[in-house]
Amino acid sequence: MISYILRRFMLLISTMFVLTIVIFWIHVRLNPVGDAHLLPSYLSYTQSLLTLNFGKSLATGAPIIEEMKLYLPASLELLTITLLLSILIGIPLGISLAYFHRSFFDRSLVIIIQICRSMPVYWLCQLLIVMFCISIKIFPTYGNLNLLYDIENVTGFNTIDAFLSHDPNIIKDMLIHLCLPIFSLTILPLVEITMLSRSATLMVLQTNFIKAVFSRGVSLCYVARVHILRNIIPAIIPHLNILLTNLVSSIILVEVIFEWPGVGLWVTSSVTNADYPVLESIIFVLAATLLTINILTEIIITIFFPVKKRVNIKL
Amino acid sequence: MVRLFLALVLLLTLSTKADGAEPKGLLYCSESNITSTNPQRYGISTTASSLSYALYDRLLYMNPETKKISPGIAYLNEIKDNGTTYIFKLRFMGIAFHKNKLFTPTRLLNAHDIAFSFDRMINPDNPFYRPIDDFPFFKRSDLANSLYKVKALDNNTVAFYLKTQTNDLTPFLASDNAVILSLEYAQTILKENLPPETIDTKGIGSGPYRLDKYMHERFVRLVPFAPYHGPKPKLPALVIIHSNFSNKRLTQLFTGECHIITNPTPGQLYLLEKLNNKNVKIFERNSVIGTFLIFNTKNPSLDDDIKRRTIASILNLNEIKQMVFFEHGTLQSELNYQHNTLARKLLENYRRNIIKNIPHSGSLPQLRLTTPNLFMPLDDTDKIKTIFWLSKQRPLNLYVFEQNNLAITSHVRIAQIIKSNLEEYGINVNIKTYRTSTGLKKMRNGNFDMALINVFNNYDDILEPLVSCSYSKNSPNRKFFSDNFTNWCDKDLEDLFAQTHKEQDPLTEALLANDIYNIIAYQMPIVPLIYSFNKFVAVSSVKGTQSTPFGGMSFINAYMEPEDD
Repeated sequence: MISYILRRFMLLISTMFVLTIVIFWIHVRLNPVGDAHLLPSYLSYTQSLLTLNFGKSLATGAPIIEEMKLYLPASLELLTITLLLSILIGIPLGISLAYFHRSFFDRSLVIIIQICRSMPVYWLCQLLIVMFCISIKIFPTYGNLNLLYDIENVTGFNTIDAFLSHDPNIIKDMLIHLCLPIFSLTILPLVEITMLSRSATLMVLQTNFIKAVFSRGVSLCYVARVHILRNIIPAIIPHLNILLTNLVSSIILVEVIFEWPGVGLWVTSSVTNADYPVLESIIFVLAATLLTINILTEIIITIFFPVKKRVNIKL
Repeated sequence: MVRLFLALVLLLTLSTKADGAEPKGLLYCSESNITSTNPQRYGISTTASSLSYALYDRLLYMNPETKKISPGIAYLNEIKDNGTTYIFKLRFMGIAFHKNKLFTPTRLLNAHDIAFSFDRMINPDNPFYRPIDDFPFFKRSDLANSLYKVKALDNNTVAFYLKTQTNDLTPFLASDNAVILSLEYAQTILKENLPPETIDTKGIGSGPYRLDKYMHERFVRLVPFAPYHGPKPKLPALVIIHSNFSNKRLTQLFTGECHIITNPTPGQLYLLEKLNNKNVKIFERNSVIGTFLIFNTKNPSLDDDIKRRTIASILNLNEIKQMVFFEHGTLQSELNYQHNTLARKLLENYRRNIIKNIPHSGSLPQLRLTTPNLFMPLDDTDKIKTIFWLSKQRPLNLYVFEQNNLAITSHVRIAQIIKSNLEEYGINVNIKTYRTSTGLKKMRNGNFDMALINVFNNYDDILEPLVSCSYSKNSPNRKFFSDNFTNWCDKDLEDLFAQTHKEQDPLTEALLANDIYNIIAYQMPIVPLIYSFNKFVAVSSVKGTQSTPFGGMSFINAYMEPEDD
């Protein structure tokens, strides 16, 4: 086990090394180092990256790390809520679909899921804006809070700060602003997790021990919670990495469309302003975060769901 | 666990029962980017203009309609040393500065604040000095070469020292960008070891509103400043929002997320007129977007005036007006005195000197002043010969650029009309689209034949930067489309511009302007295709707003009427 974890960490370090080389290469292309030797320049640049000393934004003159503190929480909010909703709804839905396999409920939902799967997120956003913002006028089209409201920046997370304000109008406004971006982001991971859970559950349902449990007259809820869930999670978690990567790219699109003040909006304005230090920093932070999450999930699966205790499910 | 979380959220939401009250204030959505809270750091921009009137004071005041300059917080006391020293005296003694988390003022505004505000633009020893490129409006003025010192003579008197005589100082001091900053705040920034940029991002002024929150490139929220020395602001909050896309702005107007939007496209104006919606009103602002075709005069196909005038004479500008601007544009030939300060001055002169001396002035014919035509007739033989010659040359490349903020209409469509006009005569044209930064680079390198550009400015000042070489001299990097990219210079034209800057008499000024127009019309380095006078669209509950001289909006007297259900 320890050697496995060490090997994973070595993989993380070597991939990070390649990542820093690529980012340094971009940096050198944009800011030639002149007569200075590449190796010392690389070492000092990498040291700055690893110590989160990203320098200053060309557009604002402000330290990049300070700007990151402003924008990152808004994106993390979207990411966390989307993932939570996708998992909390997707897994029970997938188990139900598998249990009612080939029923009308299963067939009709699978058709809807296939339609949702093929819907590009940017198009869905526009559709939602036309339907709910312009026609019915119940949701706003931009931002995470009406700009006339002022809330104190306690945690940096708008959702939490809105609750901390104890102002019902602000809480309501914050929740209304969350609806459309969250809905458009959740659709894709939700259907993916639903389908993964469905396939995994179908396999688990064919195992003898589940058949035995059902034959004892135990309720579906109990079986799902105690037996099925435990066995399908190891099959789902490896796919979360890909879902997470897709989600990050979707968040950039959704943030631009809904003018959500997160990293996506920051990236696009940095591209427009040719603010390369900001872009290099964002690339590094996003890539490093995704790499770390990838490795960590692999380690978690190995520790908490060892192969010898798993039902063999191949998705 | 999940049930517990959901119950908690529901409980929190229900226990704090919302009263459904909408937040009060005005949301102003502009295409112009919000890169600073200090108007000194902008060129001509609706945001700078609106911020200037909301957050700051200026020495002089410019009437947005007549462009007449009158005292602001100071008055011009004396001009001496052969017109090279201007002395201003403060009119009001009790002007207070705003306060924020970093700074609480201990004194009122005085002449030292005024001197500091301008000194930071010209004095490299000033800790808040920035290169001239960072003050785009100042940079484009003749003053950038002439103003060398600003000094407080006492607490109420400030002197501006110029190298040469110029008429540009008072218009500059009345402009939206010439705002008064707090010297005491600057000293606090240095004392607290904060970055000097703080003065431009957490602005302290003495205007009717004070800064509450600023988010770079997103929004500025302002709240009333009770000790303001003028009329008390009536809006509980004012938010200036950067909204880049015109379609999004119109959507936000209809969803109530913006109360005022700037720069509707001609198509949107056409739609709004068709809808005839009583809840929105359209009004004009004091700025114009001019669409120009510029020629690279170093190109062999375009290196003499006959070739350029031939191309200009082939263009069907009415087609552009109808097909692209839906009749919401104005051709050069349609401009009249309302659009031109000089013509307005002439009209005033005519009224003052002629009408008042004639007893029955009502019977006088109406004076109709038009701007001189920029299209000079061309000899038919020359035209035919040139068309024939041009048709035998390689295709001309017509460059079109993305200019998000100013592209209120499709440049590609205008380019297609130009292409079809020229190809009817056998002159081949290739349309090439570039990103703004790439396009500017190509134009700087002279690597183009013809280009379509949009320029945002006052009508009075729109032509000079495009054709004058002294402007290019001030801006070697030529960052803006309003710079001279034609590779064309004319010494007589430069002299005429210089004389115009010094001239006081409107009649002489008009004669000089006519000469300028004649040179441009005969040499034709640029073709003014169409002007689009900028507009605002506001919901009808917004009252009391006023256009500023440089295309923004003043909210000093603005208020919002409750909407009828």
